[in-house]
Amino acid sequence: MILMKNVSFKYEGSENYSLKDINLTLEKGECLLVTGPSGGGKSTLTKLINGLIPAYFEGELKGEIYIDGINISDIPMYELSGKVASVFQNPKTQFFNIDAEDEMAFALENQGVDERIITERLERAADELGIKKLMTKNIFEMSGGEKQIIAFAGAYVSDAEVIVLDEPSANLDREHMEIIRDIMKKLMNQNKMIIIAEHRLAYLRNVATRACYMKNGQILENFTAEEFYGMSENKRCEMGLRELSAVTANNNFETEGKEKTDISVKNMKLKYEAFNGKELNLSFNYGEVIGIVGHNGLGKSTFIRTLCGIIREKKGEICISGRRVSCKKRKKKCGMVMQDVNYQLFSDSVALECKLGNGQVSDKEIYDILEELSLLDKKDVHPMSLSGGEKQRLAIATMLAGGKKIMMLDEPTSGLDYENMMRISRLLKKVAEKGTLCLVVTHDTEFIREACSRIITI
Amino acid sequence: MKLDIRTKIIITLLIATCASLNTNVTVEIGMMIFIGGLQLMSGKKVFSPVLVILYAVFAITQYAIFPVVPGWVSMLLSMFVVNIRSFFPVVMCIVLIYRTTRISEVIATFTNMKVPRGIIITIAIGIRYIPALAVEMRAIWEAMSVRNVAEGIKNPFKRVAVNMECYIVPLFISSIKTADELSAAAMTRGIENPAPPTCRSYRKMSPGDFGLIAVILLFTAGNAYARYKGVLL
Repeated sequence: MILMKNVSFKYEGSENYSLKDINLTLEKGECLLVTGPSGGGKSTLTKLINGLIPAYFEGELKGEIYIDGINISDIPMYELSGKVASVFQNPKTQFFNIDAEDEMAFALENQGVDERIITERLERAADELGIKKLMTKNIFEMSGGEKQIIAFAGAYVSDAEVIVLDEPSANLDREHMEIIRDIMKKLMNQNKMIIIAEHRLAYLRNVATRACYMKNGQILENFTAEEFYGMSENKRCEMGLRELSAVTANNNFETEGKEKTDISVKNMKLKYEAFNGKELNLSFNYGEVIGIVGHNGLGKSTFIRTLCGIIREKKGEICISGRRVSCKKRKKKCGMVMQDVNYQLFSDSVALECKLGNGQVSDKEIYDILEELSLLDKKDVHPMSLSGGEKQRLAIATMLAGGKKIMMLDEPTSGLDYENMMRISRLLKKVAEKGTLCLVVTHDTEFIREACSRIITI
Repeated sequence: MKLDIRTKIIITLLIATCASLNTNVTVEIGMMIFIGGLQLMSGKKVFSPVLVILYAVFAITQYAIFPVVPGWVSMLLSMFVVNIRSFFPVVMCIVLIYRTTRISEVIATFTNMKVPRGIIITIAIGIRYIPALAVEMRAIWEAMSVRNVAEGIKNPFKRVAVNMECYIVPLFISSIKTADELSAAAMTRGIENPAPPTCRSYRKMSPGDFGLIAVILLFTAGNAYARYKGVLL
């Protein structure tokens, strides 16, 4: 059993408590869904249970946390790691090993578990989870979804009593979300305790046994699964929660382009193995917001990078206003908001970031753009000190300042709560209204429903 | 062919010694062919054709282009070209190490050798970080390629400086973030446990490992002797 008694926590250097007076219990075989707006304290709660607070993130901790009657502050982190397994949001940086099998065995090896037992557990997990093909793969050859399955398999093999999951579905398509949901069910059948911090809620229906709503570091409401998934639409929207039932992305959408075509893709093949030599014939128009959908690892990101001119097409052509456009020229006409926006911010201040590479644009024009994107008050702030949403808006601002009429966005709503997802959705619609084409790679069906005029399945 | 991590490290150190002693291009080409052969025998994906092509470019520059360009140009570039070229066999060895070594193998082997845990973790993270760094560098290059960050700057040196700055800032920040997240994830998997870990990937050195080390050791000794006697100078 997990027991948290009057737990409060303040990060070092922070004035405010990130968690305030948390009391909760979790019995064996239960799955607790922790949800609520970003910044509400969900991740901090998971870090307290897996011991990263205070072992890795220092600060002021009050109250007590017990796992199976043991106060976790009395045992070192490496001992706690035998009791608590964790899966994080970003599959890219949670693997210490490069091979899947080594990663799955890593926690057991660190505990000094006998080699034969490790091999047996790995074989059993491969059978039970149906992941034999993945076991010999290198993580750099895997899609985001496959990596996350291996992270779950590592928790499964570890035989830990508690599984802590911090937004594990943020980068996953529906198929992979269903796979991790099935793994969670198997873990619960083994009487494990699961705590999952999530924004995407629909896939956890019939998995979560309880839910709690966190805001401003406090648990404001506790629910049974029936109460939570049975709440009214009004209450859900008031609480700023994502959809509680699965949303189908391709209902009521136009799937064909209009007669007039501003941008066309003719007989294009991508330089991407998983694409299997498929030829693409597509048309887009300025003013559209188009969702690019498809399974993890099938080439959606490669598709937009090819349209942008970053990667050369294997075959075919891309025409803008009826003229074939080379890679070099496409780079000038297109902009991209990457999944990790930190890679594309280079300057010392928000205003200078907009000026960079856009020498012709005046200060007034930059300020107008920043005002429109609610960034004007941050014009002198360093881009790296902005929040994730603000960085995304800044990346869009740099494209607007550069006069780019074609924007690509790679998973812009990954890990975003309802409010921030809606904000991005409104912003893209506004940008599109002014004549910009927005192509958005996404798995987020709620976002597609809110923002996209049509979808293209890769 | 599966070489032990210790063999690969010893080979790299010996080849580095040879590269610093040797001044004969035929011997150097021999080293390139030898390490290239080892790479090919270790697996198709281990061999690095890019490095071989780059080496050929450097060699052709030195022996075919320098003799026909004005003296000051070859003077200006020869230091750079010769030094970089002579280092290629070592780079080939490093590629061999990181493309054929599993992190669990490093941890298991060094743990058996009683190397302190802190050093093992540092080496393991270093090997883990090489491909992650390559991914980050590519992502930043892609981001820069759609934004002409040095637009309007005519001075070529300033253009290079601006490009470098724009490259390094996000790389530095993403490196810190990646290292931070990797460390946190490793801690939750008990990496700090002082008890001896299970060494599933530990294998004893084979006669083939010892044989290969002996051959390269002899080659290094021969190189040192030749340098001492001035035979190959």
